[in-house]
Amino acid sequence: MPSNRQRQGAIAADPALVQALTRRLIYGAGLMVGVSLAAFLSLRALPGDFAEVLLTYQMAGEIPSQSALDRFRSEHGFDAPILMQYLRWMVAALTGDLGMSFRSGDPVIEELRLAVSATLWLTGVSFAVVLLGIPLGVIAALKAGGWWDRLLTGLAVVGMAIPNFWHALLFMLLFGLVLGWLPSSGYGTWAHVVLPALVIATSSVGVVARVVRRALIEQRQALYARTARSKGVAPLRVLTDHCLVNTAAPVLTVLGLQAARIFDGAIVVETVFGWPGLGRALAEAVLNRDFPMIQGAILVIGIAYVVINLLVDTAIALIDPRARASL
Amino acid sequence: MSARVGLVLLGIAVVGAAVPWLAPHDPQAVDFLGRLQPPSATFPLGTDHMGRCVLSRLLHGLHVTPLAALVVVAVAAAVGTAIGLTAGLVGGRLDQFAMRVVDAVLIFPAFAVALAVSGILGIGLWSIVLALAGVHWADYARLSRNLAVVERGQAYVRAAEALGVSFGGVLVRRLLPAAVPHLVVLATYSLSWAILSFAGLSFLGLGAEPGTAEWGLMIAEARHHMRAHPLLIAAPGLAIVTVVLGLNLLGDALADPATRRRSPFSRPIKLRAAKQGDASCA
Amino acid sequence: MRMTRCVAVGAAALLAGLLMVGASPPAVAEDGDETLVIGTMWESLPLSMTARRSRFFNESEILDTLVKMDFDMQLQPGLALSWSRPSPTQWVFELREDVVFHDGTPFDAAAAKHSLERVIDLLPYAADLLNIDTITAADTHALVIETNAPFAALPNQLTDAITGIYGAASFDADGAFVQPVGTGPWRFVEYNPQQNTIVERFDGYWGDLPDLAQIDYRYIPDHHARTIALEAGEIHLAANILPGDVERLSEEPAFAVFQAPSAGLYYAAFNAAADRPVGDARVRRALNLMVDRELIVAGALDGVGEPAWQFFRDSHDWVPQDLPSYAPDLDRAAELLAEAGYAQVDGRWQRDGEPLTLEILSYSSRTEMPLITEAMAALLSQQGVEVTIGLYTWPGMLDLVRQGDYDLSVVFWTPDMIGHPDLHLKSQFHSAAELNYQNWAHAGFDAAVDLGRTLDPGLDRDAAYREALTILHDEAVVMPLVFKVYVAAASSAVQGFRIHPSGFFYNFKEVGLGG
Repeated sequence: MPSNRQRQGAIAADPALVQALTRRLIYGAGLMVGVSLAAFLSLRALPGDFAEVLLTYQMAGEIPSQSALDRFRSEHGFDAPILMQYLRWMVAALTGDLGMSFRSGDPVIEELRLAVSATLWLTGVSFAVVLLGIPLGVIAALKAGGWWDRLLTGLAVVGMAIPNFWHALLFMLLFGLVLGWLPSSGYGTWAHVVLPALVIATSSVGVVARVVRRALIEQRQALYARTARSKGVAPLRVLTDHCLVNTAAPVLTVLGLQAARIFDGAIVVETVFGWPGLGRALAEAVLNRDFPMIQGAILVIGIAYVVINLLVDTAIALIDPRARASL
Repeated sequence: MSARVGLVLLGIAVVGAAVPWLAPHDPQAVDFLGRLQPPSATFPLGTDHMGRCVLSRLLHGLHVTPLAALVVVAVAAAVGTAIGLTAGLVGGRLDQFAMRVVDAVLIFPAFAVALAVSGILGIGLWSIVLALAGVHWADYARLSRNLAVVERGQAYVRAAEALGVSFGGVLVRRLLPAAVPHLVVLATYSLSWAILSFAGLSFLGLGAEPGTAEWGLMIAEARHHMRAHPLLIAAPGLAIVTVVLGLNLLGDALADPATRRRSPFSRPIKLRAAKQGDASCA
Repeated sequence: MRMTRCVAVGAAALLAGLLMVGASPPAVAEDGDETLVIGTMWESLPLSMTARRSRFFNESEILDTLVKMDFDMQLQPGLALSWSRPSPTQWVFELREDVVFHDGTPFDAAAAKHSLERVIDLLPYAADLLNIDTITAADTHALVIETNAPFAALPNQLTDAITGIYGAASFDADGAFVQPVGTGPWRFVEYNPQQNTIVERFDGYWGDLPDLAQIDYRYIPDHHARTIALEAGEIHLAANILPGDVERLSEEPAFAVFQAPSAGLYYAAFNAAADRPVGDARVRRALNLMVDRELIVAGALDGVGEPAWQFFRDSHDWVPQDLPSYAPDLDRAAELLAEAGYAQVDGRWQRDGEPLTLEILSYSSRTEMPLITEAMAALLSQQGVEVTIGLYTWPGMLDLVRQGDYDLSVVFWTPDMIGHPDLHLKSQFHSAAELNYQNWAHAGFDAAVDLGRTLDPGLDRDAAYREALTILHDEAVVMPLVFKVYVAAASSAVQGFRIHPSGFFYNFKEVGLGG
């Protein structure tokens, strides 16, 4: 095993790293284009003609005449080639123009702004809770087979099986009403964020703990660790210097996956707790048939996860040289 | 041991599903005069706000969410495995391209994507099934592709190719059987994922049609009376937990090499379990 | 073994949690100062004046209207002290003196004119509702309004929330709306999106000053969450609690439950287009005869509501008293369906081998709506009618309704909102109405409604509306289901709260916090 110092020296010079990161960046850029295409095409894929949907909405439900429709089409460029329409839409989107919400009549970008900040807050706290899975997993691995390990495993297994909407109701009743420790729902203060964040994190924290536990146990049984220990290196040193570093790649990977799961959880949990986030906004937009809002949400979520993925891959490449080739 | 727990729990599910006549009543039979009854001999879990038998609805619920989840998994597994095995076997550019697409699908929040897709397609059971399968195939594609790459190097596959067995023949007769145990493990996990997703969407009012005996929907409706009648949300919630827990434990047991080594019936159990899993939702 | 035990521990913890939920002691509501916190179903959105949103200005009394509606739904002086109609198209309003806006500027006829003109300019449907041609400030406190046709319902219409009087400071230099500056007892203070809106007492108010110093309108859309917030002591008053919670909360001494019949009506609107099964009036009548409204009130609303057999409550002189009832009559329903060409095969109604299938739309943003819809659907289904239900939110449902892809849409309106039938009949059922998505047109009905709005209160007017309502009833254009009983719950500290029958007025100026 190279020492940490050697490894850092290698980073700057390693052409494999530079190459891997460049490949990732190009791939990420490609995905962004893909996301924007998906968002653009999502509304074109609606049953019926999108120009008609839009004009019907603008006329407050009156069925537009054919001539009005034709005029609307040419005024708004719906008769242009689809690629041209996409580019025009893209330019508008880049300047923050995502159209108007059918529900409120306000710009979609305005609605998204509040939703995104609320969701970042909630999912950020959830993610911090999920990170607790790392120390929990380490403890479980060190005391593998002990009661703490068993309890953790049990909670992880049960936590993954509880439907989050049900869990949210139970927490709301228990902590909000029976114990009265926390606000039962709503938005605005740190106290409000606790319950929804815990509910979202429940299903993921166990997954992370289990991955950490398994990876660590494997590493500790690996030859090099046993060699180091037999050479008289302190067990804790072995753990911190070698095992933890080597478990970084699988743990980072699973954390990246949990980032996606956290948002999935937020959709339901935000709805139950009345949290004005992007998840609830998306669910409501679907029920509202508020297509510009759905489109905006697709775009924001898609781009966010391309970026998250890029960050995770970069972190893995920096920490674990073996992973570079496969990126 | 945990495999046995899983099997017991799944067994309950199988019993519930295989014999819907176990349900004492028609799950849709409305009786406005006999609403919100406590458990009794006639209604072992009482009645809901429309006087429908809760136990009957729970049992019939086995035919909604798990069945829809099974369709999701079957479609995702079939499509994903076909793509994955082909990519793994052909290799080269096709493989690279396919795996890049798979990577791309996997980085997005699946539930959110499914929700958005169903928003475009229109709310309804089948658009949800399609949307969930549409994001889930990638897991199968990645797994089966990796398996195919490993197996491709094995002597028996190369021998078959040397003997002039057709491409499709190798795929179906050689690679697929080798992949099945791993796919079964994934399928147990993805079934539980699909069940939770589907119930969640129904809870939000984006899944099963209102009035259906669907667990998530039952919880959503029971919220109106949950304070005075906690059993109404406890029962369907526990039903979901039981089935999902059973599937997860089963998956753990199947995936754990230690269990496999220790267990006297390692391979057969998987296949039997898989069949029971199918039956539970048929 | 290990796993078994782990699971047992987890499951036990869960069950313990559930059991605790069963027996819940109420938390204590204590605030100490004079801020009343109310949990509301809708977000108040004080920085916008479109549609439903501006209703908040009236219900919270940031703004006053020229004419007000008392607790018996009778017209009362608001910013106008009296009104008269010297000619068929001319109304004269004498305005209250010594009234100031929240920014200190005086209220007079010029201010009223400016406000009404801004409203008509900014809200596209306001012109349709008000039928105003010109507004003139005849002297400092006399307002003359010329309507573009004889319009007797104008004073009633001026009780509508959208006609609240905005001070000039409510608009920017370009005439766009900025924030509400009114003459009411409460002054707008702050708004936090998706959270709350705060108003404070306006000491320059022209009427009796309120007791409370502040009111915090907290937005809690979910009915359960709102009730839990009340019980947990987070809010003092929860508007629109669930019927299922009424009995439980009534029994607890820490809370008071308020119930009062309101002007709201839940009804199913038929799509009367010729290509739909319910395009046939006989089918609509038959369906009306199949649904026992008593059962809907009991089954969907835990008894909190009044069965509705006709469109308006018969507490008005202009409601016909002798209409044939749609009380359940399955034999008559079967006859009507047979006349329309349907026959019952294996208990299911069909025609030409096609089952009678109804696509029912409704929305879940009003929590009780799915319950009512499902109960109605279940009753129809029991009688052999196939039903499919689609639940959206209000805008989502409206989108589908506009496209005409439905048979029944179950909705909630407040037909009696202004104490005059014109508003609802003209805007929902008149063939020229913009909101008429039911594809129903009837010349006799149109004529009666067009006549009624020109007539002053009296026998002639009542006769015209009785004719219109008789046609509406005979044609079975809607299936009235339940008259809403408005429910709110409060901690016992809240004193002096009364429910206004319009459902759109809190009257917090008479509310205090005791104990």
